[in-house]
Amino acid sequence: MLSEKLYKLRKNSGLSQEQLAEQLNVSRQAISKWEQGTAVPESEKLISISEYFSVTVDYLLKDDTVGITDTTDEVVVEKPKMIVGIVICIAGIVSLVIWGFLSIVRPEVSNQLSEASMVTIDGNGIFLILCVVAIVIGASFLLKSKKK
Amino acid sequence: MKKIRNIFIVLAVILSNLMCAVVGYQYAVMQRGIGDSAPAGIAFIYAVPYVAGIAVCAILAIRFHTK
Repeated sequence: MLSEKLYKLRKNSGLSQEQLAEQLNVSRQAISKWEQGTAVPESEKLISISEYFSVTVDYLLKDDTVGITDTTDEVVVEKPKMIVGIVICIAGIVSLVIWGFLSIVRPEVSNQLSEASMVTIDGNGIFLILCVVAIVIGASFLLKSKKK
Repeated sequence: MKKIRNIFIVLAVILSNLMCAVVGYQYAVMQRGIGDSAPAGIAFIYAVPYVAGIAVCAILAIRFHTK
């Protein structure tokens, strides 16, 4: 029931009726009536209550829903993943750009890279493959990370 | 998010310009190469990593635009 949930949320937050009333811009008597079940908050106040306690309006009004909307932990976990993805992606792209410039301006550097390869694949080919792999890995990190 | 989207757009533009420069240069080098067995058209293979990079930048720019 809304009255019980409101009471529990207020108690869990360690607030008195006066303090909650101040936060929601209502009178203490309104909070008391809501908690006793003798009155129901209007829709605007319901939204304010849900935002204040980070719960859904569904949770307040329905009996069988779990509606905690606090996703700050998920956002904190997703942010480093996003940063890693951006760094890897941009590193791959910048390496590709630098290689491109060097292959035109200093072709001897490109030849040295080519001769450095100990396998049958050309050294330039290996470097370009690594650049593409870095870009794809970075992009996959970025596309997987999502903000709820 | 807007900043990141703009960065990827700029990188896509840089990659596309550089792709044209690199492929053109390698084509000219291979065309002038005397005794080389490979045809000059092989130079277009250098476009592959750049196309992959441009595609990824475009996808990420769209993703961050809609986020």
